[in-house]
Amino acid sequence: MADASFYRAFTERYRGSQETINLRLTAYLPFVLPLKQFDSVCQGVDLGCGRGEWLKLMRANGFEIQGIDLDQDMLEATREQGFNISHGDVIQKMRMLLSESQTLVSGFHLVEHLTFDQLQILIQESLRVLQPGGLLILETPNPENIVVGTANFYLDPTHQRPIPSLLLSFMVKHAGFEKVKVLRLNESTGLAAHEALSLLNVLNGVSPDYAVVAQKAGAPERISAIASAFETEYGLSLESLANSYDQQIKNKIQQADAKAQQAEIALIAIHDSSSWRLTAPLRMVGSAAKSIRNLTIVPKDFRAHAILYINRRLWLRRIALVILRPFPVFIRELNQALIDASSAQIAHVTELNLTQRGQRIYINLKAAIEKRDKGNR
Amino acid sequence: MRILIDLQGAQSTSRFRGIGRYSLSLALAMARNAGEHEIWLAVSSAFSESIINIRHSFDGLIQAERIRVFKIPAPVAECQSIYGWRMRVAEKMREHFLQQLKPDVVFVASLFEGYHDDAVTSVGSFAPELCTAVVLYDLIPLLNQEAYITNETQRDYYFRKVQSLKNADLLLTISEASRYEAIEALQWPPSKVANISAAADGRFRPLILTAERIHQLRSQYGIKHKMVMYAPGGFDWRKNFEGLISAYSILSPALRAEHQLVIVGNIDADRRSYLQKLAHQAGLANGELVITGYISDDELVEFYNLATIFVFPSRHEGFGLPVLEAMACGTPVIGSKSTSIPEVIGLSEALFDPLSPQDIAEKMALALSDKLFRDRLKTYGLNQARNFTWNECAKRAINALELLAQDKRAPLISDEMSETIPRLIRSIAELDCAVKPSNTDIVWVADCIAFNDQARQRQLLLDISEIVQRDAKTGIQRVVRSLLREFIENPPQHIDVCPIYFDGSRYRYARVFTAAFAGKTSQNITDDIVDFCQDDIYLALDLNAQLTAVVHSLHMRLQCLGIKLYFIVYDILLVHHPKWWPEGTSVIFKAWLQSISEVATGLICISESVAGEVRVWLKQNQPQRQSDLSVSSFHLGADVENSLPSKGISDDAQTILGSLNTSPSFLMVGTIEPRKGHAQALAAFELLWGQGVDVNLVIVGKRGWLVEQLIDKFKQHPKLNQRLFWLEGISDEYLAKIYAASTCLIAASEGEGFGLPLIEAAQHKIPVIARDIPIFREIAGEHAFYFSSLASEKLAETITIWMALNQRGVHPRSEGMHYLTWRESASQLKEQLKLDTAHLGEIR
Repeated sequence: MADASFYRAFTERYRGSQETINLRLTAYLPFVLPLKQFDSVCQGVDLGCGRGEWLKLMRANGFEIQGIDLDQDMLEATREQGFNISHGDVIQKMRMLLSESQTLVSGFHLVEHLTFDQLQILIQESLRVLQPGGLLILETPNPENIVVGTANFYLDPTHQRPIPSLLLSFMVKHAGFEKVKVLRLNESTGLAAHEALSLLNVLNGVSPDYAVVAQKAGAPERISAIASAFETEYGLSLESLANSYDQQIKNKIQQADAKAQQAEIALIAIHDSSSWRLTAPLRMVGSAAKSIRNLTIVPKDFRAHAILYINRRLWLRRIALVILRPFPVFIRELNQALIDASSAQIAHVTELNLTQRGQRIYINLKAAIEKRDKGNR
Repeated sequence: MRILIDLQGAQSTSRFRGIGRYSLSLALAMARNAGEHEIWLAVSSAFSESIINIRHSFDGLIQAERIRVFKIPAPVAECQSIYGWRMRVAEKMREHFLQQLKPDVVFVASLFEGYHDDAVTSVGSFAPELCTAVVLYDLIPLLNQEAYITNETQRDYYFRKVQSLKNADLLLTISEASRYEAIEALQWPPSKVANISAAADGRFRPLILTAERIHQLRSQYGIKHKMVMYAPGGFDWRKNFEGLISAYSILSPALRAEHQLVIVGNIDADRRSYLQKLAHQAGLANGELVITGYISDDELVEFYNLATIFVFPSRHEGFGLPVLEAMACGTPVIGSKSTSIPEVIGLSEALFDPLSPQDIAEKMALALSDKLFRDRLKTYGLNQARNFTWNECAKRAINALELLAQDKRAPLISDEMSETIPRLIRSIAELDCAVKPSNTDIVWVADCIAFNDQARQRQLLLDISEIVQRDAKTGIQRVVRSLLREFIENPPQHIDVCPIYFDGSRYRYARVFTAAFAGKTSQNITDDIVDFCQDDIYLALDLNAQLTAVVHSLHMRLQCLGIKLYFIVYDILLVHHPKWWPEGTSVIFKAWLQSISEVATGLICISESVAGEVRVWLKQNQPQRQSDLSVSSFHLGADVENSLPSKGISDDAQTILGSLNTSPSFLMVGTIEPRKGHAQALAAFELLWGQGVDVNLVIVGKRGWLVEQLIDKFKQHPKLNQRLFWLEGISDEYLAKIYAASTCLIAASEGEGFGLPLIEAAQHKIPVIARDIPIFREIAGEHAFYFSSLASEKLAETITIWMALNQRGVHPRSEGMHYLTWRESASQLKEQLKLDTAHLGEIR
């Protein structure tokens, strides 16, 4: 690891503030809390405890969790708060734990730092050290979120590779856990309601993290205690988001179609009239003028585009100015853009713009000059 | 004798100074006093705004075709040495251009031009055989080089101009003194230099100023006492401020207490503070010297009139115009005894030695204290000023030119004009210049040479942009096609008919379209860019309102270049009745009308009614233009245009025709639009049906715009297909049958540009009831029955009355209605274009 303090600073910046993380972690409470009733003392271990957010939350809820991390800087900060933490490799640590000694094993944003082999060992050790009915929680970035999976995941240079939820959950099941659940987490609340979706929402709005929560086989009462938590649906999947988006588009199109049909009927009658055609040249500019009018309430990028559009079609100029008189700022920008464009337009002729006679003279003149130059050399 | 005046002096930056005014005034006076001589003008397109002013100034004095425009590859200002090659080439091109006009004499109003601007003058750079006379204002820089020629570029420029001067056949100076100077400085033969003198503008005359105005001027410029005025006309060293201020300081305290020394004219901050320092050093108190800065011409006249005396201590002048101006205003003038000033003042006791402040002071003191002396100066001055008039200068100039033409035989210019361009090209190629031409330079030069070529046959450019790019088959476009056919089959003489169109950035010849139109193949034909030349005529056959924005500036440029622009105006209904069309249409139409009224030479309307409306509109809107705008009219043709009438009759036709034949049927033909009066007609007929009158109303026409309610009314009408018939989009064949079955045509339109329906009715031999609007009167005359009201009851009445007349057979018949064929129509149009070519044969 390069610079330990770098990582701390990095985490501060990109992982989110402690407060944010605390809030997110409360998602697990429905799984964890019901287990308290079965033992007087519940032990747990947090692998890669980092700044100790989980430790803090668990302490507040009556669990004594020990933490382990490789990052000395992070550990110092956490130790200061009075937690039981040690420095070292997580797998070594797990090996040192007694079998069936823990109620809870957790690893938040840990597994993406491990190799596949390491991960397998970790899962096996977890199963070993957990009491019957104990919980394993592994949270990691969700590559189903397209922006996470293709870009944001790699913001942390120590990440190995994105782990699809199907893979992690399978590994956990395969190792022998009784119940396995995938929770999608930490999506934006507005999107959860599937309000007006944009394409960008579909690309980056899926839950950015997911967790595999698994329960070791155990006494029936322990299993049933958190059965309901296992039944609930969590988070935003790509499929649901994409479907919502599609549906919204379909609805919009339907509405537009209906309007268009009505208009078309009215329009056919008008179009056939020859007098309508008489005024066609005039109307062409009218509609262009209207579209310019509409452009002024659109953000600046579109304005720049509109100016370019008008530049290339100088015939809109006078019309544009007539219609746009109420919009002084736009006119200023338009005028400046037009001045730049027209000074280029009025520019000198090129050979392509010469008239026929001009071209003949040009050819002769050029030849004569070149001949003279040659003669001089 | 053909005198060709190079009037760039009145176009360049000089036009704001004395030289510019001199050039223009002299040229105008020569045009007025030309007698049998031809006066032609050569102006440069590099100063396009000034061309319009010049054309306007000479309107009525010189035929428009004799004001010739030439193009040079600007920018060519000599102060920028990188323009070097272009400037040299431009000189040759200009002389080549002048040569083609076959002048007997070229008269250069101002030779020392083009240092800071794009004027181009030279003598002997390409066509030494041209007989050239040059107006020489002064040789002050030549005689005072250290003061006036400060760098190499200036030196090059000045001495090249002096060389041109020496190549001239005749010099015309503005004073005897300048003449003498020229002879001395240039070692010039006296016989080749004549004095034509100068004159002051007519605005310089004695004025009586109101006390209020005097007070205003005094307070505005800080003049508390009597004025000793000096208007130097420039602020270089020869104007002798040092001498004047020094002399003023010598005046007695008593005189100084009553007067102020006022220096009048535009001055920059540096010079102003220099003068003030001079005054301070000479012991003048604050306020004794007043420097006014810029004042307008009118204020200048007032100042001359206000001044007690005018003093002109300049050391060296070519003429000394302020002296003459002051004298013309009745101001007592005293001035230097040097160069041209004595001959302008003409009174030795008014003169002093400019190099002696003492002498200046004595003369000033005398003038200020001796009223009789002042009066003498004033009277003599007013009298003397009358000797200097522009007519006098012009006559002297023309005399000198006549003498010159006698001596010099007419140059033997070969009639093979086509030879001169190759000669020009060779000459350009032989130029030795430090700056090498870029490809753009060569292209630009080629373009200008092409434009300046006078040998090209002039063109009648028919703008048919709409039908080339789109064919909406509207009424207007049928007219355009008919006229186009006529112009192609029956072209006017001595002019090439060239249909053109605008492709979005420039005009092109519509060769491909025209070939197809005439039924020929269009292989190996390209639509080249239009080659505009000065004598071309542009005629917009169609209504191209959507092009207005981008072609407006192009049209202005064409106008400057001397091309005549005509536009056909079909109607201006959109101006007065914007509600008859969809929203926004009238804005665009008005922009078009505004544009064409600024650039056009003439607007040709399709009827006198429309022409009348246009004239009224012009009076109300006063478009910005210099020359007059002619508004005229012609009539459209009414031949049966379709040799292939459309066919097709619907199944229910027999029934309908049956009903029409049973009862008197009144027909309306035309698109259903708000202005056509269908609503009023329907209401009128409902009244008649309510009264039990046995009549039908047949409406033939497609639905237009803004008439949804009316259409609904038709469709839901109880009498539909019993008494009321609406036929939408029927064939020509069917329509002919409808006409045959109808009793009368009703033309109820509230506004029309023409009145084709009336003519069609006449052609089908059915009578007409028409709304009494001027256009229908113009078309139908007495061959229709008229009604005026917009009320349906009145129309119902009219119809009843008409039916009574019809019963007795005394209703107005339409058969006598006069209408034109397209041949006749095109003929009328050609007349409006004034294609008179008689005088143009002169150049060729």
